[in-house]
Formats: sequence, C-alpha cells, structure tokens
Amino acid sequence: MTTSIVPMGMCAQTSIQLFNQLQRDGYQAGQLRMIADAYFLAMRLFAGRVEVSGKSFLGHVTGTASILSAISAPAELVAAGLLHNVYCNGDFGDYRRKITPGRRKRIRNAIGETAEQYVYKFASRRWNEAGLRQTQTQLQDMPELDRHVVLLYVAEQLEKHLGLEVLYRGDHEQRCQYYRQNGPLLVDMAQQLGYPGLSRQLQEAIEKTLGSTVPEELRRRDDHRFSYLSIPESCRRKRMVPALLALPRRIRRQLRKHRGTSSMAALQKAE
Amino acid sequence: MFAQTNVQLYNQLIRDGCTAGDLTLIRRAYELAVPLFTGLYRPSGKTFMDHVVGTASIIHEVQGKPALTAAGLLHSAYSHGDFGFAGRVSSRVRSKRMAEAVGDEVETYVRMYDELSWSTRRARELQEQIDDMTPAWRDVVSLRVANELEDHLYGGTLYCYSAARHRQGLEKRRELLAGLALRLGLPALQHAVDRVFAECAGQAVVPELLQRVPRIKSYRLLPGSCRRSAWLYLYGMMKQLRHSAPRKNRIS
Repeated sequence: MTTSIVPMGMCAQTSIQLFNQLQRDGYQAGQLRMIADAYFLAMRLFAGRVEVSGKSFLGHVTGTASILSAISAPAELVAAGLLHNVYCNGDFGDYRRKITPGRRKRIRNAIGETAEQYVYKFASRRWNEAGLRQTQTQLQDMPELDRHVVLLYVAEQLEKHLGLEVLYRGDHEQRCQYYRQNGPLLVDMAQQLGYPGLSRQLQEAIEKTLGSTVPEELRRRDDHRFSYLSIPESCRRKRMVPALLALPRRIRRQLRKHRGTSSMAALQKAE
Repeated sequence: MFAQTNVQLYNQLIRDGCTAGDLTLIRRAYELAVPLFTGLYRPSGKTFMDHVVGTASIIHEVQGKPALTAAGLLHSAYSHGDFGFAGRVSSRVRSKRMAEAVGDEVETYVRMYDELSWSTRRARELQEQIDDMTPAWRDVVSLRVANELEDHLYGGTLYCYSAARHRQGLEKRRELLAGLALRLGLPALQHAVDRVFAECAGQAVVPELLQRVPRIKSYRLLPGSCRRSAWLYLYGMMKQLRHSAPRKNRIS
C-alpha cells in the first residue's frame, strides 16, 4: 500500500487544485467524471456553508478528497470524501438534518451505490470518544467498506489540522482538548488501517496544532461550535422558517429536562 | 504559493510579520466578505471566497499594504456582493456599511475598483496613462492585475466551460498583464504573471473535469433552503410587471 501523503500546505483546497491532483494521481476518465459529479453536487448542497474557522465548507471537503487521492484511495472513496457529511450538513432544502430515502437516492444517482454507502455509513457512525474507542477495538475484524469509512474519518481529521486551522476557531480550547484525548486513537487507527505515512503525518499535525498559537486578532469572535449556513442577505427573511421548525424540538427538550429534574427531585425525596 | 483559504492567508500574514492592527483589519474584511459572497462561484467552479482570498494573497505578496490586502478581499463587493433586498440597496448605504466595517481607506479602494472599467482595449489605454495616475489609482490597477492573475492560478480558467477560448487567449492576456505590472513598477507581479501563465499554457485538462454549464461570469447558487424565497421574489416581480402592463396600455 502506498504511503505518499500530501505535504503540509500542499493539500488541495479548491476544485482546481483537486482536479489537477487527480489527473496527476492517475485516475481514469470515468472515475474523474464521477468525482467531478460529486463536486458539482457538493457545490449545490454546501452552498453558503462555512466552517467554524471561517473557511468555506467546500474547502474542507475538497481537502479531505485531496488527502484520500494522495494515498491512492479508490475513486468511490474520493468522491465520498467530497460529500462525506452531506446528510448532517448538506442543505437539501428543508432545514432538516436527517437521512431519508429521497436524499440517499439523490446522492446515489450522482456518485453511485458504493460511494453513497460510504457517505451513509459515515453519517450513521458515532465519532465521539466512546465511538472511536469501540471502532479502534473492532477495526481489525471490520469489513472493507467500514474500514474505508474509518479511513475517510481519519483523512477528514488530518485535513482539519493542516495549516493550524483548529487554532483559528473560537472554541479552539475545547477542540484542542478533544485532540489531546482522541489524537492517539486516530493515529493508531490510521496505523491499523495500513497507512503508516498517514498515521505519522496525523501525529505530527496534531502535535504541531497543540504546540502552536496564533494571534488572538485572527480568531473568530462568534460562538459557533459547528459549521453553519451563511444565508445571503436577500434571503434573510427566511430565517424565521428554521427557527419555527426548531421550536417543537426545543419545547420537547425543555420538557424532557424538566421531567428529568422533577424525577430526580422525587428520587431524592424518596431517599 | 498563494493562499486559497482564509487559514492560509492568515498564516501568510503571520509569516510576513503583520502588526496586530493589520491582522484585525484583514480579519474584519474577511468576515464582511463571507456573507456578501455566500454561495457565489467563479465560472471555473471555484468558490468566490477562494478567489478573493487568492487575490488578497497576491496583492499582499507584491505590495504589502494591509489596506490594499483588505480591499483585495472585498474588491468586487459592489458588483457581486449581496447587500440585501436583491440588489436594491443604495450605494450610499453600501458604502456606509463597508466603511463602518473596514474603514474609509479600504472602502475608497473598493469604490475605485468598482469605478475602473476593464477590457482589453481599456487595459492598453491604462498602460499609457499610468505615469499620470495618483498612487491610489496605481494601487487599484495593480489589484485589477492581481484579480486577473488569480483566475489563472493552477490553470483555473482551463476548467471553465469555454476552456478552449481561454487557452487561445492566454498569450495575449499574459502580455497585457505583464506589461501593466512592468509599467506599475512591480517586478514581483510581472514575474508572477509570467510564471502562472507559463504553468497554465503547459497544462492539460481532461474534458470530464470541465464545467458542464456555459457561464461567462460569476454566479450564485442559493442554499437549498433559501431557493424558494428567490422564486417568491421572481413571482413578485412578475406580478408587478403584470400589474403595470394594463395601466400602460390604458394610457396609450
């Protein structure tokens, strides 16, 4: 298996850089067409989406695909890299974050069955600390498809560290804490997947991020913790719609919280 | 290598030893640019934000003036930026909003950039007029050259639908831009033009990766959730037109 990795700062961040790289990396015409289709769909579904660091979301997915291409991943996985969290962050037109048969069909039509499976599994898996630990222990026995999904996650995480992007986020301290805890897990998983070069680069990138600082003046001032949609000014009135749609969910959450506290109080009383 | 994302641009600024005030100005310019250019793409499929960051990175590299770098991030705000109300915001309101965010100097650069007309013929005329120009106008012309150069970075124009036409005009364009950079007294910009265009000319692009829709100018893809409001806007316009038509007929 190849271990050639994108050098620091050379990871593609635009479609042009990615397409140049794909041609250099020797993908076939049909494969290039599929990856281009994935990018054209990503342009629509991630239009206006911005990372917490201020970078466009398309830049992030392009970077992820670039890393996958650099390790000679299958074309389907590169295409999936361009749409990897489309079920969570893609704007399908109704402000909701869920996986529906209609959405799956749309993605399948654009990038094919296998690539859609990667995207679907990526969205279905839990990537928190407990989920990562479970994945790490089960990795050796996983089917090829699931191993590729884990590889996609590792590539995505490496992309976030190239160029110290994490440090430009408003919540950089929490993110650094996350990587202090989970960094070694990610590094080990890359090793287990058979990509020692990727593992080494991820370790170096995390260490560099944790050991560096950037001027406060360049950090984001807002309190975004996740990527967000920057709505064009001319469409601002539509902001009412997501707020109204989220209202029942908010009420349910408050009720649950209230029920939780009242049951706790009842328990304490009983004790 | 020129920056293509805000993170790369910030790293470039730190490397070049910009002061805290300069960094704040450029971050504020970027934060203003994000909502203005949201969902906007170049004909090559690249996001408009990447284009403005690239332009700012080039102009920073060759000029090193923080206000001009900030103007690079906002250079086409008046022609392409969405200030609200579907483009019906007055120029006074737009200028005020811009000046409040990034100051008068940057706003002046952006306004002058908007006023500078640009075509092949005009570029030739500009070459002859450069000696009579004020320093601010010369800066704006250099920004224009940086903008053109950015479109050709990594062979960008060769991924447009009309790639063949772009390839034919490469040499003529290179001569024009290199000539302007030379007249402006910016050898670093001239070398960058020569290098980027040489790379561009030697690059092969497979047809599978070209844009599939013919577009000459930048275009906006609205986020899916906002698309309906654009339709409503169009519907409103149609209604207005239908409403006004009979009245005109009555007068005639």
